[in-house]
Amino acid sequence: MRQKKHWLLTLYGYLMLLLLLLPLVLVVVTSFGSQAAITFPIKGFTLKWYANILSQPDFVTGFKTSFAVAVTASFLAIVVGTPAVYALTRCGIHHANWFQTVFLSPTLIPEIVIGFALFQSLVIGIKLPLMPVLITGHFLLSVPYVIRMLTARLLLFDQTIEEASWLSGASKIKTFFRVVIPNISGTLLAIFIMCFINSFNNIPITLFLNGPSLTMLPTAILNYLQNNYDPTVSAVSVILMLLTGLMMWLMERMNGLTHVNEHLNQKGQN
Amino acid sequence: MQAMQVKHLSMSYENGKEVLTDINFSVNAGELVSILGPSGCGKTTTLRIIAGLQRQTSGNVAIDEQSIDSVPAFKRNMSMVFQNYALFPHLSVFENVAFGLKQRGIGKTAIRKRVAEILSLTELTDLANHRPHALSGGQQQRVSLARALVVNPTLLLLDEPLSNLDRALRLSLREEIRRLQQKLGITALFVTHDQEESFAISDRVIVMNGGHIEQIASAQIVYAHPATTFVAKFIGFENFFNVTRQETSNEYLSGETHLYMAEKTTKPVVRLCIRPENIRLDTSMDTDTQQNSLNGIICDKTYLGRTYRYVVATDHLGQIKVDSEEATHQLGDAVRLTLPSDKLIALAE
Repeated sequence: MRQKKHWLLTLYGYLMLLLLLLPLVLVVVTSFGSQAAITFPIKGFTLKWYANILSQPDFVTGFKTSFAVAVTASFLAIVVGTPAVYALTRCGIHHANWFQTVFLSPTLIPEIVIGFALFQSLVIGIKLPLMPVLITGHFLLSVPYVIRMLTARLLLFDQTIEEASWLSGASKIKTFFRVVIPNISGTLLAIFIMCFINSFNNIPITLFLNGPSLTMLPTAILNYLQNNYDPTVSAVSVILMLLTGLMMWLMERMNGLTHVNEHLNQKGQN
Repeated sequence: MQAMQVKHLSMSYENGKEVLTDINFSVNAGELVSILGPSGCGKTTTLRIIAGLQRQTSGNVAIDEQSIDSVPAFKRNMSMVFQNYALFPHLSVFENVAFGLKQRGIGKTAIRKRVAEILSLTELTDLANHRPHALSGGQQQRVSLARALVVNPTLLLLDEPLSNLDRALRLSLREEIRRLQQKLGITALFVTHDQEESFAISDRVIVMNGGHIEQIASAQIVYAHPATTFVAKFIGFENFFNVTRQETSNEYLSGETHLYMAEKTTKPVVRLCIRPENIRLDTSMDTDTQQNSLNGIICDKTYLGRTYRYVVATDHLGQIKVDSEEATHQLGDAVRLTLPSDKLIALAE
């Protein structure tokens, strides 16, 4: 049922889209510019900035570390978050709402504060190496996403299906792994990708927790930008955009968010 | 032989609200018993406690005289058919039906043979490879039934299994459930709010209301001899008269009206009742004092399809509802009602 929209609304929509996309288009275009500084419009076309990425060791190792940290933190967040959400939605825990708020609380605190607090307490305080603290920070960043999105999915998952499984002879643990997990795997993957993108692109927390021994991609880009203003940064950004885009596309393909969105829409209407 | 007994079952929530009060009944081996009652009467809670999905506050559930209160749901060897089917969305029809056998550690070839058997019994063979979402409601419920039967349960529990289906499907699936239950000799407990459904399918009916049992009897007895006012109302008695008994044990007095019952009873009686279709409606205004006859004026008339529903205002017994195939009576007509003495039912409470 598609209604015909007013032309003004359509125009407004396109304007907003333009506003959102224009900076990105600029980045893409400038990454191909042949001049030594980022300028627009570009004078000549070249791919040398893309080649230059590989000659910057900070970008290469930064990418690898960021990737590793993002994967580890997202994975941990799902491993810790999933049972928590299951308990919150299924076990009739007292004060479930309160717990929910606690799990979501990292979103309420400015990320830069989380970064600083972790640095102060774990790195300075008990002298932990940077890597585990960094992963902890990104883990904290990811947990609220897991809680939020998975709660929506599990509330939508009919509990009588689990009851049918128990009565069929599967214990609660078996039911969790053989019935619940297979049915929410799409959502889990979508959540993983979401957490990954967030963690991979994160600056506020990362800023406090990197150092000479530990280079992360976003901070490497920042550092590079302070000393050079050439289109290499644009080229790196384009690659990051492509990677993020690819993941979003994958997530759509998995259909993992459809349920969640449906649930949120229903909630909004009630 | 009693396959399952429920003894002094009570259940209340933490806030003190009592959901079940002293429920006692048993189901014999191979019998289909239904629990009939309005929503909120505790019938589903009773079923869920028997299945082990909920805990009772006191009392116990026993299978073959053995208490099973400490046995978790997944070890009770019961199966349940849910109102909303509750099939495993990620599994095919075959895998759904095979699920319970797999949990019991049965070998692959044995599972394939047994599943094929039950799928052909429930006429689902052609759908074996479909996912549940590709099936209609009726087909999904047949899969659910097959999944419940395949494990040869000690007790088959059915929780309003037909309530989500349209009428034609409800009737055919009802017959199918009964046919399979009898063919396989399965002991079953069927929960429903639909009187016709419960009467048609079961050997015995348990009528529940407000967390307690009102009557346990065969459908015929419940229909003809409701034990309480609640049961009478629930199964279609619409005319109730508060009475006091006269010296002779079959004469009752309601206000100034004398009513006579065909059979004598020794139990205390507070109320008589009669179904609308059992009252005779005549135009002849005999003034003779025929037994159980009274005059009235028609004050409402509704077409019900097979019959007309007349509401007749009487002097001493208030408004009386009468169902008649006669279309000729009009609003305001003076009529004579006869309450056949053998159709009046005495109620003790």
